[in-house]
Amino acid sequence: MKTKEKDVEQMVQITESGLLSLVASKLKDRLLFPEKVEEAKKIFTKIKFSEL
Amino acid sequence: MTFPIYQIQPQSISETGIKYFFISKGPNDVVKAVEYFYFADYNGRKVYNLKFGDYNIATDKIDDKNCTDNGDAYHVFNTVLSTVPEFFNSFADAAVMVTGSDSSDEFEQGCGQTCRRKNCNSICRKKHQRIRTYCSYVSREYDSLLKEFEFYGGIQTRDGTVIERFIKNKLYESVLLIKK
Repeated sequence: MKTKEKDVEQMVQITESGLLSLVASKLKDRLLFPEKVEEAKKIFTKIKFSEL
Repeated sequence: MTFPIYQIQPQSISETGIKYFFISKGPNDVVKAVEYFYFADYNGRKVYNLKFGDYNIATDKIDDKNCTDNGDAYHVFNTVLSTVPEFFNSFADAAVMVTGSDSSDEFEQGCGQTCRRKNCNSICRKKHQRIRTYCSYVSREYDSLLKEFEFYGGIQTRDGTVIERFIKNKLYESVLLIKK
């Protein structure tokens, strides 16, 4: 008789600094806010500086 | 005066900017991402856009519109601000532009669809909330900040954004700062 096999999610413990390092390496080459950069570019193309 | 801040780990720097990460503590632990991204030049200075949001590890997505509700808004805000001097340590000749993620018309439209406030019909009270927080912080701390930084405020007009020297207690749609 076969027993049912159940997938069990593996939980690992990680320190906060370890987690942040992991996140940093994962997001290293990614632009995080692409839409916002486009918005900022739009603002900047039509920018005028009053007397500073 | 000192403000409580979360610990930030130094991250790798590239030509396009720098990222910082920290963990917001509350009912949930939330990874926060702060990014300075180079997007324009002005007067020989590279201009970087400052943004921050939540990083969801499970979905691998960044969200800068979400209200985390972790009960530590000022703690988070102070931590984001603490990255500014750090940033200028690496990019001394740069300029930083700050805008609110809740200042766009898209935000207002989206907010209007789920708005529960009855008195929010004509003006969205949540719009510009973030940049308002930045402006009031700069206004409050202006005299001490002025020793190290110069501030400019951006006002949206029909013909574009007009930048002027920052005036205390005035609400701007964007804030530009450089290190003296």
